[in-house]
Amino acid sequence: MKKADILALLLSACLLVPLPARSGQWVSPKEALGDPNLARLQNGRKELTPAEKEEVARYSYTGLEIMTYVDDNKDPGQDWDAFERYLHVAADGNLRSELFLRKIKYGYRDQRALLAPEGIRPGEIEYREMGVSLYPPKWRHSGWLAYIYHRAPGAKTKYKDEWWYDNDLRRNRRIAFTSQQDAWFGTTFTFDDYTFREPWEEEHRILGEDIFRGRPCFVVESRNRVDPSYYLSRRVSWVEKERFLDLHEEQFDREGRLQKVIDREWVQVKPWNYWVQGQQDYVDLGSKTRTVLQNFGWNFDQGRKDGEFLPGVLRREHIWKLPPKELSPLRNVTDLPPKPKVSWDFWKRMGVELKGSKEGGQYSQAGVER
Amino acid sequence: MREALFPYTKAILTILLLILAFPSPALAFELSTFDPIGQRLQLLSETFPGLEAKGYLHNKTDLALHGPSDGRDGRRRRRQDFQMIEWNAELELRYRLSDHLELVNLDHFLYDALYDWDRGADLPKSVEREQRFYPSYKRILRELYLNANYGDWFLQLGKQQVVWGKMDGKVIDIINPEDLRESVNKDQDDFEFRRIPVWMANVTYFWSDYFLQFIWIPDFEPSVGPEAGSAWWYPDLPASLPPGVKVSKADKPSAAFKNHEWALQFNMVKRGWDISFIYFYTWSDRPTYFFRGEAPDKKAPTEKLLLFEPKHTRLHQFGGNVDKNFTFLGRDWAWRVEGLYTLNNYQTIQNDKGVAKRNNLLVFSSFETSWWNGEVFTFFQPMWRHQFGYDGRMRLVEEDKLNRSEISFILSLEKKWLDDRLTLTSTFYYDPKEGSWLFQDTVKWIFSNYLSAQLRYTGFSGSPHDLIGMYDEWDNLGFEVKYVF
Repeated sequence: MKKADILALLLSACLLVPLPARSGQWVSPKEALGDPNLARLQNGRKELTPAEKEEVARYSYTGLEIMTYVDDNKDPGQDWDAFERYLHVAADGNLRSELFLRKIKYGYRDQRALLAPEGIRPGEIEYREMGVSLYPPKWRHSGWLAYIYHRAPGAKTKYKDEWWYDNDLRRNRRIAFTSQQDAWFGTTFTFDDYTFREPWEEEHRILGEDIFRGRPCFVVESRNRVDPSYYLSRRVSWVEKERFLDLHEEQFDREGRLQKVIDREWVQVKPWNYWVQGQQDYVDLGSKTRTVLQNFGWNFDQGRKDGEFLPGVLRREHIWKLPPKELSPLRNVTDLPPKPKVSWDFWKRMGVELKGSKEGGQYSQAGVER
Repeated sequence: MREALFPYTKAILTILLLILAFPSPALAFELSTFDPIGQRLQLLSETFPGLEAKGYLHNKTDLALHGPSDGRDGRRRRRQDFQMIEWNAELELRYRLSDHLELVNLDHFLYDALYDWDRGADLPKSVEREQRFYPSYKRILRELYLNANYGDWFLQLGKQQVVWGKMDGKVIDIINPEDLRESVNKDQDDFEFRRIPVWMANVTYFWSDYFLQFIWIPDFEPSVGPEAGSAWWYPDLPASLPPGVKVSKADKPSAAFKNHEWALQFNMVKRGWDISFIYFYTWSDRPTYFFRGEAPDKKAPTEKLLLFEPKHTRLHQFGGNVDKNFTFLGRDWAWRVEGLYTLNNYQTIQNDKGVAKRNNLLVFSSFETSWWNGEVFTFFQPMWRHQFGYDGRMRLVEEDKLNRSEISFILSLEKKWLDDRLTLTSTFYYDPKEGSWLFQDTVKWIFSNYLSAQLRYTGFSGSPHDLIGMYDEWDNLGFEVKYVF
C-alpha cells in the first residue's frame, strides 16, 4: 500500500469519527474580560466621568461595567441549542403558548473581542440563529433563520437578515425586522427585552445595593441614550453581585409610571457550567398581560458550522432533537410560577414613592415616581 | 329558497360579532384551551412513539355581494348567492423512523356545499362533478413522501410540493401545478391547499454557503379549474362551448422517460444576499388549444365542426431570485426580486393556426418594512410581464387582447392589535393600462392557538376585457373559520 493510500484511509477514518465537542467552561465575565476598563471605557472613551469615578470608589464597578457583564452572561459559549417555550396570558385571560427549538452560533470569540474590538467590526455577523417550531400545531415544522449584525454607536447598521419558512405554504420568505421596541410577536416583552438591547445604548448608574431572593445585588438604573422617543423612560435591574446575573427588573414608561415587572431565574448547566436564563416572567401593569418564557435542554459548544445556518436548510423542517418527556406542562394559568413582585422595600429605602401604588405585592397602573 | 340562505349568513356574522364584542375572561379561557381533536391526537402520539399528527378543519364561504348578475357588458349571468361554501379537512401524519428519516403523509378532503345549500345555483352538472368533491382519490392523498436528512444531503422521495421563490404570487413557484377553482379570488394562504402535489425525487446537497437542488418528476399533473361554467369561471366566456366547436379530450404526456420533467436550482448566500438560479424542463400546466381543421357534424351533416385539440407543450423555463435586507430611513427593509423567462410558450393568436410559439418574461419585485416601531406593516410589489415576438392579434381570453407589456402593482398595509390577535389587512392591486383594480380588506381574529376566523371583502373593477376587471360583478364577502389541531 502506498503512502498516499494510507494517508487517504486515515483521512477517511477521521471524517467518520465525530469531532469531540469543544469543552468550554463558564468563567466570570469580569475575569474573562481581564481589564475592567474594557467594560468601563467602551467605544473609544478615554476616561471615566466623575459620577463613574464615584461609583468605582463606592462599589468597585460602574453601572456600564455591571450591565456589560450581564450582557456577556446572556451569550454563553461559542454555540448552543435549547428549547424555548412561553405562555402568554392576555388581559381577558386568553392563553397562547408556543414551543420551539433554537440554535445559535456566535461570530466572535468572546466579549473581549466585541469590546476591543478584535476580529469583528460593526456590520459583520455577531451571531447566526435558526429555529424550528414544535407547538402549536399550526406552526409545527415552520422555522426561521436570522443573521444578527454587530452594532456600534454611530454605525448605521441593519439589525438582521431574516427568513421565515412557513410549513403550511412550504414557502421560505425574506422578512424585515420591525423594531427593537416592538412587542415580540404580541407577547409582554419587546425585542429589546428579548435580545437586542446593548449596554452602550443606555446610560447606567448604580442606585444602590439590595438583597433579592436572599442574594446580594447591585441595583442599576438604565436610560436609553440613543432614541429620545424610546418607549421606556428607564429600567432598573437587580444584578447578582457574584456572577452578574440580572434577577429582577422594573421598567418605567415614558411618563415615568411603573410599567413592567420582570423576574429572571438563571440556572447553571452541567457540564459546561454556563449560566443561562432558565425562566423570564414578564408582567405588564398597563396592558394587564403576562408572559412566562422558559429555556431548557441546553447543549453547548458543538462546533456548529456556518453551513447549518442557510435559508435553504429551513426547507428540511428538521426537528433535530425532541423535548424531554418529563417536562412539566406550561399551558394553563395554574402552570405559572408566582407573579413577580415590585421591590417596595428597596424603593422605600431609597426614599422613592411610586405614587398611587399599593404595597404588599399589589400593582398599580398609576404608579408615578415622585 | 334564496331568501332562506340569508339567515345562514346573518347567523355567521352575528356569532362573530358577538364573540368580538363581548369577550369575557371565562369565554376567552374556554376558547383558548378548546382543542378536542388535538388532545386525542396527543394520546395517539403517546401510544405510538415517533408518530405525530396534526390537521385542520376549515370553512371558506364567499357571499356574492351583487346578488344575481344580469350579464351586462357581455358578462355571463350568475344566479347563485354564494361563490363557494367550501369545507376543507386535512390530516398530516409524520412517523419518525430515526433521527434522520421521516415518513410524511397528508390527506386532504374537500366539500363545496354550494351545490347543495344554494338552490339558486344553476351550474352545469360537469362542474358539480368536478368541484363538489375531489373527483379522484389522488387528490385526497395529497402528499406521501420520505424525508431523509443526512449531513449535507437532504432527500425527499414521493408525492410532494416544492416551492421555489419568495414572492407573493407565483413567479418561479413553477414546480407544482395548481387548482385554480377560485381564479383571481385566491390569496396567499390558499396555496396551502390549492397547489397540487406530484410524485418526484427531490435531492439537495449543501456545502459552504451554497446548495444545489435536483428534481426529477416522472408524474405529470395539469393545473385544473376553474371549470367551465363554475362560480369563478371567466365571466366573459360562455358556460359551454359555442355551437360548431368541438374540443377533444386533453392529451396528457405519457409516463415515458422522455416525457419526464427535470429541474435544477442553485442557491448561494453571500454577505446577506440570497441568490438563486433555476431551470425547469417541463410541460405547460395548462393545455394549448391547437386548431385541427373542420369535420362534418354527425348530428347535422350539412354543418361543419371546428376541431380543437388541447395539448400540453414542452417548455424551458429559466429564472432566479435575489433578496436582501437593508436599512433605509432608519428602519430595516426586505427587498426581493424574482424573474422567469419561459421559452417556447404557445400563445393564442387570431391567425389560421390559432397559436404562436413565443417567449415571455415575468418579473416581480417587492419592498416591505414596518413603521411606527413595528405598528404598521407595509408591502409594495410592482410586477412586469413582457411578451417577446409580440403580435397585435394575440389574445388573452377569447376576444380580449393580450398586451405586449403589462405593469401592475400591489400595495398592502397591515396593523395588529390586542397582542396580535386582531389583524386588519388592506390590499390594493392596480393595473394602470387596463384601469383594473382589486381591493381586499381582511379582519382576522385569533381566538386561540387553534381557532381563528376572518372576514374579507374583495372588490373587483375595471375593463371587462381584463382578467381582473371582468369580475366586476363578482365582489364578495368571504367568511373563514379554521380550527387547527
